[in-house]
Amino acid sequence: MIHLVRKAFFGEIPMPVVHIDTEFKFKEIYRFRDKYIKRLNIKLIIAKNEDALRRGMSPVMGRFDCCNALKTEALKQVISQYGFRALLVGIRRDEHSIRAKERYFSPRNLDFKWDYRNQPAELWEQFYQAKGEDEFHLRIHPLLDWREIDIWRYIKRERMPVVSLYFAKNRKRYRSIGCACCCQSVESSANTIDKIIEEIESPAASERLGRLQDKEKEHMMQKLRSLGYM
Amino acid sequence: MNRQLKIVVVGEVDSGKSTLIGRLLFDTGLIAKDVKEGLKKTCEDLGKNFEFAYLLDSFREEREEDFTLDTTQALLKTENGDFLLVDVPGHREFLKNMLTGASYADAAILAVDVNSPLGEQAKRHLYVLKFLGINEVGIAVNKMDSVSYSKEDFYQKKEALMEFCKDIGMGLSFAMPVSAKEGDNLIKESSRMSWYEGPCLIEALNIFTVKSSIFGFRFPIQDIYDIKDKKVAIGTVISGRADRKDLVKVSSIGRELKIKKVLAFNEVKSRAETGESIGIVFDNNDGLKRGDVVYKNIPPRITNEFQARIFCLSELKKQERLSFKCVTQEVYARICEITESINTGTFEIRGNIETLEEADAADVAIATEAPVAIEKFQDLSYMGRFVLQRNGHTCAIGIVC
Repeated sequence: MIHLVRKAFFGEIPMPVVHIDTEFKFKEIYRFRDKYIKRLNIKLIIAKNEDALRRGMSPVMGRFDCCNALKTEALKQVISQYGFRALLVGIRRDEHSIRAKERYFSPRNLDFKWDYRNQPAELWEQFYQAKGEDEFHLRIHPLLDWREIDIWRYIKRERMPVVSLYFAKNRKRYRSIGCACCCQSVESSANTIDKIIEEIESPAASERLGRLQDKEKEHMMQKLRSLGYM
Repeated sequence: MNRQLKIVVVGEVDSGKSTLIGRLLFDTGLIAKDVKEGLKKTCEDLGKNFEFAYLLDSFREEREEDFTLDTTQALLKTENGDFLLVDVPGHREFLKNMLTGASYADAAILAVDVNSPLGEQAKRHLYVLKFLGINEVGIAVNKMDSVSYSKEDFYQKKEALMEFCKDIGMGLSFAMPVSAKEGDNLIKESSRMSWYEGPCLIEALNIFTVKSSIFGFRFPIQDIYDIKDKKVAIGTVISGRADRKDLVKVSSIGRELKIKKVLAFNEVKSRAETGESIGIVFDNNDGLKRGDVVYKNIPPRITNEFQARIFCLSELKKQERLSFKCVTQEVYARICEITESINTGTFEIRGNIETLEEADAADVAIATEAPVAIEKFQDLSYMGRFVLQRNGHTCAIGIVC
């Protein structure tokens, strides 16, 4: 996502980048973030729900509540603090069947709710409801129609750096990463980008198999997203 | 990224659109094991047999009430290449979602239930396809298992469909009997319908072709960036190509400009070609702005009044002030005449009226408050299609006649 912005603006990244930090992310992610931000001279905003963290919020208190507090609430706070009107978000249709229902330009109201029963028309992948009204912010999903394999092919073509967790170590690798406590590695011997591409071409398992918030309860993802989860 | 052929599956409520797509994905081995198992459990919890439609219908209410609320997409891989299948809702209330899904597509499959007559939504969907310029349409006569795979029932249905399509001037690529639920004639020929000699569905998808139109250079300006103190016009080339040093014109200005530089990220290019998102530096950038269309040689039509056909997503009144959007152009406009309207469910035609209803299509004259650069839809679809918006919400889509 950041690389695309950089290319679209001829090498500049004219907007700040927000990291929704739950404090539970893998240490490799923090290390990667700090290096990448420094190299590209990015204005980074670290968004944390400090209140919830102080109260000791963690997955032990329930994954739904944890995701909602540390991700969605943290996002709400940063949006209102900076007065953001629009966010570029890297979700894709093939990640989850709920995300597959999204629009490229997806409005959220003041309460952050996703009115999935009444989404705006988008015509010919060309005409969007691109103007937010006062009480709304827009989620813009430029990668919506990319697939997991497109991402890896793009990483290869553009020679982009990636977090080391994606590569197999001791026959295990992470295919999708987030919070260390809620991600499981999958069996794999793919330790290069080419091998990862080869592995994804045969769909033995889904990309987010290791992401526990997707499956804890049926329709948890729908509930999370209707409240404003990315 | 690869550009796959996009196929929308349309049809009446309960004709089996989502089941058809789900079954195709399932049978071609595209569903991961953990997704299958998760879904099996969901279906058991709801007290149902395995529902292929749930691979697409992911919202809780879609599953509990067995309908599709919003459009979604899934990739189908076959030996002959990949296809992107687009699922759309059949209910009239979700017409906006159906249009969104259908507007992505290059081709379409109409799913019909062999047991039911062609209903209002199916007719409307066919009309929408024709309206959107999707001429590659095939028909899957579904639920053949429920009529014991009867040859007579299929042919009866097929004839009725062909007659309707002929009436609205739509050609058909194929019509075949299938059972999405049982998987007949989807990825291989069914032994239960040996009387049918045509191809199975995934073979038939190869019949679809997409024509690409060749046209002069068209570059609608999206924005003007200041890069290292230089004005750069940003946009996507929608047709043709232009080289460095070429002389071009701009729709709103009329004077000739020379292309000095073509820029991409970390790259200076010698030309700008169809499909590229690039920056162009001209010898004189004065007055250039978003919405200007840069062209070479044959000009687009530059006018403030034109004939169009529109499809309404909400009620519309003659003379109401609306925003007209075509490529990156945005100007105020009014419908100054409604020549004829058609109810796309009943096909009732009305002339000389003041107000259009939701889901009406109409031939209209549109007057814009400033000149716009357009083309006929059939000549260059990008510049021949537009939307009319009220407060940022699309209330009609249209094509230039």
